[in-house]
Amino acid sequence: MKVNVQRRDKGAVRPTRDEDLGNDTIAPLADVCETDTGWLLVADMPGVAKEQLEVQVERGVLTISGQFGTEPPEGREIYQGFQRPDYFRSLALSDEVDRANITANLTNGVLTIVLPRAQAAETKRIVVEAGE
Amino acid sequence: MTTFRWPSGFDPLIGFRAVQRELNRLLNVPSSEGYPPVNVYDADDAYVVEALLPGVGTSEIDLSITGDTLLIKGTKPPLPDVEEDRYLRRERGHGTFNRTVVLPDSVDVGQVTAKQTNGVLTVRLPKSEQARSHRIDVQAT
Repeated sequence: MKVNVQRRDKGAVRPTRDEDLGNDTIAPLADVCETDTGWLLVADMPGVAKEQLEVQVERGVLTISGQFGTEPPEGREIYQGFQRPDYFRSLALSDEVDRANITANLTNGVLTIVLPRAQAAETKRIVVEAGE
Repeated sequence: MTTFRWPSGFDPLIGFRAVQRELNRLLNVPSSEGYPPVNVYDADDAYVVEALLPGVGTSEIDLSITGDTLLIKGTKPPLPDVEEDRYLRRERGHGTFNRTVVLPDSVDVGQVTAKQTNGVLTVRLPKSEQARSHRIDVQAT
């Protein structure tokens, strides 16, 4: 299983400087890629259902937060490979992102956010009139 | 994230892990040590194993049990239709995984159930009759 941590933050979607999140909060691992129509952000948030998920955009900052909703099974824990954290991550969006049309989907513990590219202002041709 | 530690520093799986690593090396078996992350619970009449597998569909998980060993295999797919050079950030990981969970005792293979919710796989393995604790009456003579 290959885990390739590459960071080529080209500016459109950049992590912000998160303060200490606290012991029980982790930042979900995320892939960010460019598509033909903008960008895609995909974050692994196992244990989170729609009811415990919040995705917000405020002043150009995209914030993802969620809680591990699946209850632990009954019984004595005899081996712990993971805990049940809260998730939190924020990313800064540049003006290239069309913030009003961001969509998000949560399926099987994976949050997929589609960030469309803002339409560039149309170039208007100015007709020059010949002077006297 | 803290790792569970037995009070005296004793990890019952440590010997197994070393053997597994060595076996994998000898047999050239790619082993995804540590993925998926699992928790194991003892619920008196059953063992329960939880595994974090976000983004892996139920049809992409291959679960099998042999004696007291649960094998979790499968493939976590990369994002569809995205070429390598279009990634700006890549943290999630993808590929085939192969995790062995050795349980403390034998289970009733026919009664094992598994379900997946929100990317968390929960496997319930009822203990075999032998493995359950039995109360022994002490006779007074």
